[in-house]
Amino acid sequence: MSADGNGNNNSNGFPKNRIHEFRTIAEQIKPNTTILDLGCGNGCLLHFVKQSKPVKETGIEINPVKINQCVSKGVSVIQSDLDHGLKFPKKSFDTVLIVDTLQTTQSPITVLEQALKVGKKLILVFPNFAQIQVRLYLLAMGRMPKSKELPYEWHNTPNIHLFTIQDMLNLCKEKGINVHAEAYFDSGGNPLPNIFPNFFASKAMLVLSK
Amino acid sequence: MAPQNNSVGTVQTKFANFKKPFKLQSGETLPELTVAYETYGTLNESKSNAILITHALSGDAHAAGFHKGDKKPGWWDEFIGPGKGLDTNKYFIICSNFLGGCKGTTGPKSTNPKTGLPYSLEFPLITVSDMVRVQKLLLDHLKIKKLLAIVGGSLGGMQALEWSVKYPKAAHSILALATTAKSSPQTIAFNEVGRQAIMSDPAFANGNYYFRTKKPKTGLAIARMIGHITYLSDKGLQKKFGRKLQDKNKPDFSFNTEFQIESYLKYKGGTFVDRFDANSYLYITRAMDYFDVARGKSLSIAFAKTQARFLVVSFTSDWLYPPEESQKITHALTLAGKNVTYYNITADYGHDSFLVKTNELARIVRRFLDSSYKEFEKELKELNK
Repeated sequence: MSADGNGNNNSNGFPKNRIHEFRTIAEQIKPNTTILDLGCGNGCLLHFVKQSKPVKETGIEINPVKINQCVSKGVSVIQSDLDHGLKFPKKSFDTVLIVDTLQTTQSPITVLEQALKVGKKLILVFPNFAQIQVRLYLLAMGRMPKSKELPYEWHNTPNIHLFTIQDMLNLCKEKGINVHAEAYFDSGGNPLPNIFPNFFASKAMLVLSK
Repeated sequence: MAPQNNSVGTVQTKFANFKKPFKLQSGETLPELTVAYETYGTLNESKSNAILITHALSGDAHAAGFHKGDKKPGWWDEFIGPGKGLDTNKYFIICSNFLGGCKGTTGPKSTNPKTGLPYSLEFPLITVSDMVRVQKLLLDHLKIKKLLAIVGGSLGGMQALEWSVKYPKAAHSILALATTAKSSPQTIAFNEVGRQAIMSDPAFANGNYYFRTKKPKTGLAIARMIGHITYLSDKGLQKKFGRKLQDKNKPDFSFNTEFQIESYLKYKGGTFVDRFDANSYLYITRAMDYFDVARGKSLSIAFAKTQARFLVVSFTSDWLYPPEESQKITHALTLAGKNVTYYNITADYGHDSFLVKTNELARIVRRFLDSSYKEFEKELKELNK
């Protein structure tokens, strides 16, 4: 969760407007299973999941400040660079999470494929660059779009590999990745019905496996 | 320097005596044991705040505060005290000199009750596992069933890891800093050069130098100088000394001390021989050489039984126990399904960073212990229900 804007954080350190997203993710995780969160940020998602059910969590994070925040929450975290690869054996985690992180990696395909290899399933959450407001921003302003999900300037954004829902669905088809479930959210974090998500959704959650 | 506000103040080393024979991993037996230890802070009623410090090669029981009349505090005073990394306002800290040491715990310098003379090289070879079993005796003596944490750096980290394998339920948390799961051939090589320096000093006299006026100071100083190089880093040395000359503007063209780094190493070697026993140095470095927490097996299998949660910390410029070694420990623990946090601190001071670069270390250790303490209190409450 390194690449999103900071909303109003509640006492557990996550923006209030992400409650639906977090709940939807947590629903996909069974109790007494193992989770690996790639780019776990300050650990608020793992902390949220841990509070709702017993799980064995591991976060991967590169930023020392965020690692300290994880440790304060009692979340287990390993300092590592996702772009240096994951050295875990096949299917060693029940669930792998990549939340708001894939677009920040140097080689997103490698990270995605490794996540699908080490995890029995992958929950992928990402900002949709084809959402109507983003499209209009580019169309009207002629500048790189900024929004709540994408608050950075073009030159300082960690989001170096932005993509759309359609891009990801195409990639899944191309790579033979199974899509088991999908959920979409608007810019306020509210759930959206599954109607033209590539046009309306600010954020997407896909449950994938290979 | 007088004791300050953030110091544990004046402290005293205590001694525990164990009269029963103690069987070592080698099969040899020590007829009796003395363990030197110090404690800081107060043990709470539920005994949920006890932390054991396991010290490194040149450490001892005197980890913090000042001995009466001393100007220099204990070896980890930067890190232990009110409000520090290990906060003595919250925690009860225990540090004991390890087996084979020369600061009060039974070692080659101690008197062999069978002969009435120092053991010298009659002292049996010891292992890290033996050190840990002696620490367990001390904790039983102090009536502490389960520790909140065991904290150790370098050889101290090896002991902390050994604890987690040997006594999988003995500590809620293990903090292994700048350490490794097994001694590398490089470590063994440096240790051997150190030992050869000691043993080839004519004053070593096959270890029987205790009653002689001439002690193997040259050999021990050289061993320490070699060791000390491995605790630093090229970058750290560049920063601290560069190629600067010692008290002169141009070289003398002699083999006297020319560069500052030479003077520094000679100073380090010189002060070490006044406080350390050459025989101890042989035995302890040998124990390090033998160390392999997995006993040749897979590391994640070795950690299978431990119930502790772990904080593994490495330092970027440490080439004696480089970050990759800590990453191997972390990886094995993750595969074994254990709770492990790994943190790699950017520091230029090499292996010794855990002793000198304590601010960032203190920050993460405090946070980690805070959450461990909460969990452990909850665990004890549920046990007592």
